[in-house]
Amino acid sequence: MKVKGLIMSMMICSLCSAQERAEGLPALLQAPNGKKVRVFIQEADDRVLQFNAPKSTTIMRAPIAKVQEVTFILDEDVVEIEARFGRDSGEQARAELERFLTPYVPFMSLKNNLYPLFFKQIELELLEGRYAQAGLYAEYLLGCRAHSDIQLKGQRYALISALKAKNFKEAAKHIEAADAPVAEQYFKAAHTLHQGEPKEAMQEVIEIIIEHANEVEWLAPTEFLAAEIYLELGMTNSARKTADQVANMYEGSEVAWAASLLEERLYNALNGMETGGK
Amino acid sequence: MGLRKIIRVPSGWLSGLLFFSCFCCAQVMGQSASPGELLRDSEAAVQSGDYEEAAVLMYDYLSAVEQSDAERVVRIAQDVRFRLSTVLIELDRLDEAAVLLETYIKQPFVAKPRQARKLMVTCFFETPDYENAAQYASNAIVFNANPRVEAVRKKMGYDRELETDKETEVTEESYTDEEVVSLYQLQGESLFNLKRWAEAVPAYEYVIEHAQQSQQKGYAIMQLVNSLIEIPDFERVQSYIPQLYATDSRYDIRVNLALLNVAGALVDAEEYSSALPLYRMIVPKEELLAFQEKRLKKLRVESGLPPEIGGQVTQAELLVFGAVDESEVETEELDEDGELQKKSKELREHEALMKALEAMPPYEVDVEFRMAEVYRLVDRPYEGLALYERVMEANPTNQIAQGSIYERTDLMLKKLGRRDEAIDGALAYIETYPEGLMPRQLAYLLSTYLQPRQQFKQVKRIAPYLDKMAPTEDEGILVYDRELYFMQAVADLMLFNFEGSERGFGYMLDTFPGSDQYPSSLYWYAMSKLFLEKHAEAKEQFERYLALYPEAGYSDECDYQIGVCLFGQDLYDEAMEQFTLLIETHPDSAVFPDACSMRGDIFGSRGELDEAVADYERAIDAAGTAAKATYPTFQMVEIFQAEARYERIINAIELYLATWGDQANISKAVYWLGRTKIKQDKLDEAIDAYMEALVAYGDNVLEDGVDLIVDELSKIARNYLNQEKLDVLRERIHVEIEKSTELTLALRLRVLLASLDKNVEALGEQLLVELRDLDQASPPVLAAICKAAVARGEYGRAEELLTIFVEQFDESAFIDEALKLYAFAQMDAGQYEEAIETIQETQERYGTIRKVVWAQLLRAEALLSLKRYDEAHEANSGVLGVPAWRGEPVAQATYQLGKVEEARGQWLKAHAFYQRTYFQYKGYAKGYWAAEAYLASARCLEQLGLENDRRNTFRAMLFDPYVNELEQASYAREVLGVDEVAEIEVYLETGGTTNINVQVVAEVDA
Repeated sequence: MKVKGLIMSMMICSLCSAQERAEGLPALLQAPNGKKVRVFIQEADDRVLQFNAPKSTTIMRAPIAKVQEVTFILDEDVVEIEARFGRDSGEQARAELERFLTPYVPFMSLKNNLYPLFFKQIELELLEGRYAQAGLYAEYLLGCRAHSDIQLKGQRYALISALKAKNFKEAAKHIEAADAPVAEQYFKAAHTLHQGEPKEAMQEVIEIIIEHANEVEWLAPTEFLAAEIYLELGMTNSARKTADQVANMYEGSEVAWAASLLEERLYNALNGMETGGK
Repeated sequence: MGLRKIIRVPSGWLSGLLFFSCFCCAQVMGQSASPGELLRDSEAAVQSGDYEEAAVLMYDYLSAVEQSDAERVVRIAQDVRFRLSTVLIELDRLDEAAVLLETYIKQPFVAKPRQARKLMVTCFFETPDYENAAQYASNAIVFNANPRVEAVRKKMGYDRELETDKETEVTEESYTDEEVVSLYQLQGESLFNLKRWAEAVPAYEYVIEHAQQSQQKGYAIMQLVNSLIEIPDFERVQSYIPQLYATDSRYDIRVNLALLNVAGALVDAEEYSSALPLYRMIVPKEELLAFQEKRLKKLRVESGLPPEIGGQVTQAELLVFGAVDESEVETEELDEDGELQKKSKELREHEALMKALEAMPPYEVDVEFRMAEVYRLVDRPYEGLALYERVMEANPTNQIAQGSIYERTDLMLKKLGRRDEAIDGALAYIETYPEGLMPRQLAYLLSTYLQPRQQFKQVKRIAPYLDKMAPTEDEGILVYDRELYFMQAVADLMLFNFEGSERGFGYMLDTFPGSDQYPSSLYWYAMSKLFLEKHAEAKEQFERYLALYPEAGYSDECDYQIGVCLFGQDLYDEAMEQFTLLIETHPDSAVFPDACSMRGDIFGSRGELDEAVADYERAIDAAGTAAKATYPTFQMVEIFQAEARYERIINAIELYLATWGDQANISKAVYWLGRTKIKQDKLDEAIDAYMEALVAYGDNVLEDGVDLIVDELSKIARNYLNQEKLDVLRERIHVEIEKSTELTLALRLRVLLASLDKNVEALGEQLLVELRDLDQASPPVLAAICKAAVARGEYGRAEELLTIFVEQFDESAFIDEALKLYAFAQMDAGQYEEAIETIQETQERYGTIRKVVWAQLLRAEALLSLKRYDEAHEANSGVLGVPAWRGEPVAQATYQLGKVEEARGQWLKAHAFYQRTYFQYKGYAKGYWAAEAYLASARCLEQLGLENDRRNTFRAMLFDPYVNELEQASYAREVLGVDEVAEIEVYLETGGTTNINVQVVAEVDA
């Protein structure tokens, strides 16, 4: 416990110092063999990550592919940060979260401990109708080549962003790229919805729910899509109930969080209250 | 303390066993074996696997050294006790082992206190003695963490204290993490079995947190969820369900089956979001069997058995199923070499579970049905629908599928608005499976959905299927049949198919004489007859109702309807008597105002207007609804209008409006107030009031007062307005048309404008093409369309238009145009008898008012077509005798009289009628009938061979300024030739007139 406390205090110190902040973002880099090293991350592109060791000004480079995971060292626990952003939605919440994440965004092609927040950021962008921005963020996830699950998530966000922006050409690219049957089915359902055929989309969604009942990772967005379809069909109460179920069944996930926001907005709309945001 | 004192005697068979052991001990003792020899022999027996012998020898040893205080002996005895307990466990003598271990840990020199406690927990749990198992599990867990506390309390056995410092030193290894998890697991299971749910929760939580095996963790989550449901604590349930997904426990048979129960409990508790994932997690039977089969083979191989499947189920093992007796379990089996092999406990458990799983019917369908139910309950109809359909497809005849077709139909009807699909699907099912309850329930579902929505045509679609349903004596089914046939008859009634409703209610009376619906059926049977104007028969049935149910719900209505029947039979005195009876005996009846109104009408028809007004006022006072007050109010104002008592009109209307407010027929009230203002020469006020009401209420297609206003405004414009005021009104209407967003209002305004411009027929022509859907058209609009259709001879929509009137505007003053169109359509189709029926209905509705004179003329034409000459002659003659029909209709009738005679070959008579037509009525219809008569007259003269007279007739026609410019005159010109025609024209141009006269002797009796 003492050691942990010491490390924490070191981390806090490193974050509080403006000079150190200039050195880069403090983080633990984890190699594929599990080895971790404390560094200050400077820059990243598609291939290379640049960083320097503590108390060193020498910039080192590592191939992105060799970095298994990054743990950004923060002065607050990620869970607490998540709690801080809480259930807020709307433009203000989106902007606040964006301000917090901005320094970390360039490194989002690396699997990291801020992903829960980053996913929420994307969900907020989508919810607030900033589809282009959501699409840009999705590109980072697509760049996470070492982790196919993250890439797939990126693919999903990229597709949804394109569809919501009615950029069907871009969307078609992502549908073609889908290799898992469930992903392909999901993409098609989303595409059908945004092509203005909600009833047909619902049939495709139902097929996923029945045939892939245990693909939890895909079931949450699929059921969230069902809520959106109900909304498109003008069945607001069903949309709200579906969103509520998604929020309950997949509690803890970013999709559940987005669903809870949608549910709240629909509830307010149904009760004639001001909803805020879009 | 002797052995009997140490060992608790738990059961009869064990007592016998102990006695036998002691007896053997005595025998051995009798043979003088020393404790050392006993110890050695027991060890040898253990080594050779002869556990029964080993146990006997160990008991003998313990008995032999019982009295010894020597520390070494006591230590050895303790060691023997521990080993004996393991031997007893091997022999499945678990309760004996538990008692022995209890003794062991109470004595000093306990070398294996932890293992002893652990074994005790296992023994108690397997016995099963859950109370002790739970207690000792807790004890073992505490001891493991702090053995010293336990050790210092220890007292020396054998009646003496032999406590030493050494005994506080426990040198035994602590439990491994796995062992601790197992102890918590057993503790949780014991408490769970004792239904101490809340206490079981922390134990399972420990297992969930620390178990390394995914399956063990999953099972613990499942049991924890079960416990939380029992507590109940659904919020916590929710948080554990996602964890289940992450474990392999999905393939645990017990978990799968428990999932069903847990999900069901969650549904019962309306925890649908928790239930749904559980249902989804259930692995289909075949998939589960395939997975577990692999595991079973592995276990069998581990037990030295061939890998094929076998074995039976035990009660204890079947935690979930609990269906198979323990005696059925095979505990041993021959191996591949023919050697009997003892199966491991795990293998036996697994076999039992597999057996139970195999014996189960496929549960996927049940799971899908339950999921569908959840979706339905949480208002996710599309998902529910899809699953119901899957269940139906799996096996359409089983009970679950039947439930599915019902719920599917319900969802489609009530949630998805897919009415036609729902009906088609349900009817197809009923046709395929006409037996039993479900087809009735489906038909009932459809009927009870459609009937309140007044979709009676759809209700009638069910009728043919009812007749195909297999007959039954089952009262549970018959109750549906009664309701279904009753609803069918009601549908006929509402569709004005009174023959059908008479038949339907008659069927109810004949087929279900004792049913609850019998009194209602009887009443509506009588009402159907009344609607069919079978007044005498209807009266008989109303009287029958009164005789059978003098105090029942419809008795006062029956009294009233008997009066209506008498009225319908023109028995006015008797009718008045009947209404008076009701008025005097049922002042609180719902039909009291109706009776007053009816009696008021009789008084009115007799000219006893004060009495009529008094009855209308009674009706108004007693009216419980606006509808019941509306009729007498407006009947009363009709009387006031006739008596020019305008103040009373205003008073009556104001009272009516004040009493009924928004429920009142405001537009009709405005209409009457407007008429009063017209009579008082307040034209502008009347126009303002009418226009305001027209705009305010004109978007309601059923607002008949608005239609009266349209008509009245048209009359005002025609009779009272100068050009300037007419233009102002026209402009005002134009503006309102522009502003209007409602089609119904816009159409009414357009008709009004057309009426002002005298081009209603042209508008009708336009609307005939423009309006494919006539739902928004009010009676004046429909009338304009009818008028145009008649003029153009377009009869394609005649039936549709009349049906709209009959169904929606049966009381409308504009229905005559639809009747006219329909009658002309029938004539056009050669349906003369049917046309006469339509004409009859028209004349019954309108009597001899001028606007329906066409009916009389058409009647004559139809009769002529049917060669019923006398009747045709009479029909035409009838026109001549009605003052209201003077003018043009007389011209036509006279001409038609000629046609009748011409058809009979009575050329002279015919000529006489034709001649009268062109002499007397040439000014009517712009000379049309006169022109026709000239030509017809010439035809007759030709038949009579009077060629000169014929040519004279044509000459007269060309000299006649009323007709010589008409199209018919061209024929006369053709006959006379160019020269003679030119001569006539020159003569006319010079201002000449003719004295040509055709004298033909004939008898004309018209």
